[in-house]
Amino acid sequence: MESIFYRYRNIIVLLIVIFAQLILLAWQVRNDSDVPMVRVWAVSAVAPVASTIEGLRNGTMGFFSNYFELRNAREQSRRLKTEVDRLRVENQLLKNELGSAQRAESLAGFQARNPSKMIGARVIAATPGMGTRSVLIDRGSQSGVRRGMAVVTPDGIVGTVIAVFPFASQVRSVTDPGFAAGVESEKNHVHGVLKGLGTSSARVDFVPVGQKIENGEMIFTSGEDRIFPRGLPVGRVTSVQEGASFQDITVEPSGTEQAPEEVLVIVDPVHQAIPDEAPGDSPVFLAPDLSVDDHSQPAGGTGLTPADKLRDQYKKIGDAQKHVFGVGAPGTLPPNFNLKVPGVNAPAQPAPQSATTPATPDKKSVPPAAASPDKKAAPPAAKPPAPTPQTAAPRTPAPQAKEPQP
Amino acid sequence: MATGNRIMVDSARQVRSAAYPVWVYFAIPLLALLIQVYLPLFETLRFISRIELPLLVTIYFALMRRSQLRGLAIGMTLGLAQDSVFQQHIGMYGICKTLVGYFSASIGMQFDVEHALVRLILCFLFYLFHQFFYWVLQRSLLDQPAVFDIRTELILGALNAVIGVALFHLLDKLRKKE
Repeated sequence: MESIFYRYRNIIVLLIVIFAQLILLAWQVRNDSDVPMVRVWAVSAVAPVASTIEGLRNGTMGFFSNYFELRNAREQSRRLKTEVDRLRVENQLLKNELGSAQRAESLAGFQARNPSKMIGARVIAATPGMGTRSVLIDRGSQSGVRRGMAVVTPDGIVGTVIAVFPFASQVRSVTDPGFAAGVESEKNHVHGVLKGLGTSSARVDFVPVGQKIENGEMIFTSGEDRIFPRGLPVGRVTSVQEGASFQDITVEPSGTEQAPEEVLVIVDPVHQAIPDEAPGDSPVFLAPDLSVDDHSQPAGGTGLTPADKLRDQYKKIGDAQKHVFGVGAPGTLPPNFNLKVPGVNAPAQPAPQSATTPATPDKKSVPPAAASPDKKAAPPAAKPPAPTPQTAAPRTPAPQAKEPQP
Repeated sequence: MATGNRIMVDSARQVRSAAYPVWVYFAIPLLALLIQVYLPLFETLRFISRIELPLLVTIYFALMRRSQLRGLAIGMTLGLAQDSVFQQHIGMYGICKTLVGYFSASIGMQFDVEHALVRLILCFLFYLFHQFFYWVLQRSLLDQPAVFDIRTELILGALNAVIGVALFHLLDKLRKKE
């Protein structure tokens, strides 16, 4: 028996092992259960090694991934930097375009407001010489430009045309020592001659000592030079010093303060009145002030804002002068808004008097003081403006806005 | 590896059992299992699941150890471990590989198992036997609708045989010097 077992030992062991596994399988299938112990051993043997390999793989892959990502990031950074540079240049170009458009709009606005006939031009070159200041503009004789014509911007005068070519003109700047123009002060209408100094400033000559001209006062063209029409801004007085017989007055020209790129050449000048106030900045929209009396009034109330009330007041004053708003060529006189109209900007008259006085104020009923409220309408303090041939030449008579209504 | 044309055992050297360092008996089966369960995780390496590395390792050690009991033990251990790791009923691969290990050792005593052609044929035949027996167990014991596609299995058998020959050649390097 023992020998038989020894002889068939291997096959017996095989059968036992196979049988045991079959039993194990049958038990699992029958009970639908597992043999956790065997599985735990196997998984415990494999899992740590697999985990280590996976960690190594992740580390290696992560290293190479990071390396290539870093390379890509560097490349991307370089590309983005180039893109940013390109966009910066493009942005700058667009800003310049926008600035040009805004300046063109400003020129167009100025051109529309001003009665003088002008043509737009672009400064294409600066031709500075020894002590001279001039620029080249892209309009010449083909565009109707002639020697001696005035060149201006909305900010002020720029210079005069000193040489004309077919497609370009040379303009002498107001700061050039050879430049001269007749000017007039804003407040006391003191007349003088503007001359360039070769620097960024100019001076006003021939203003006798004793004639009052203030520091910071605005200077306008007087029209006496027959080049610049009257009423164009020239600049602001920066210093006034008493001399022996004349005053030394320095002016900071407003037209050349910012090196204009677009200018207007006046081909048909029309004189204007000296403005009451120096031209300020472009008007901006302002919302109604919260501090007004009716700021708490609901929208369903009268619905009148201070601006509406002011417009209504101006409309009534205009109606009192039989002025029709929106009609009239450029340069025609506006209504006198300083006119005192009873019930509008002056206390209403008592009833007995209103019976004899027409409801609509008549021009004759306007007091003389109200009819000419502007002190500038009085004879100028310095000297009356000299008549020039250009005052008769314009399409409209020389404006006298400060005089009473006809 | 044998260089002669004879494939039957004809010398004492050919009958002698090969010896390996102890770590080889642990590391190689573990590595085979690891490759079998780990590499198919990656999409591009999924084909590795079709290569029965634990079976090839079982055949190799059973052939080279020339002991039926040792072949049986190696086959049973690797089979049960494979069952455990593959999350299936324990005993399916165990029974198949137990039989493969036993028969491999039996044949290893008759042939010159260092001959490449013998290794190629044995790997091919034992692969087919393993797959067929596994299919039988699936159908009979587990009542699973398994399919045994003979053409696919023949191709895979040839592939496994070729890989087995290369693997055996590598594993021969781990043998202890005589």
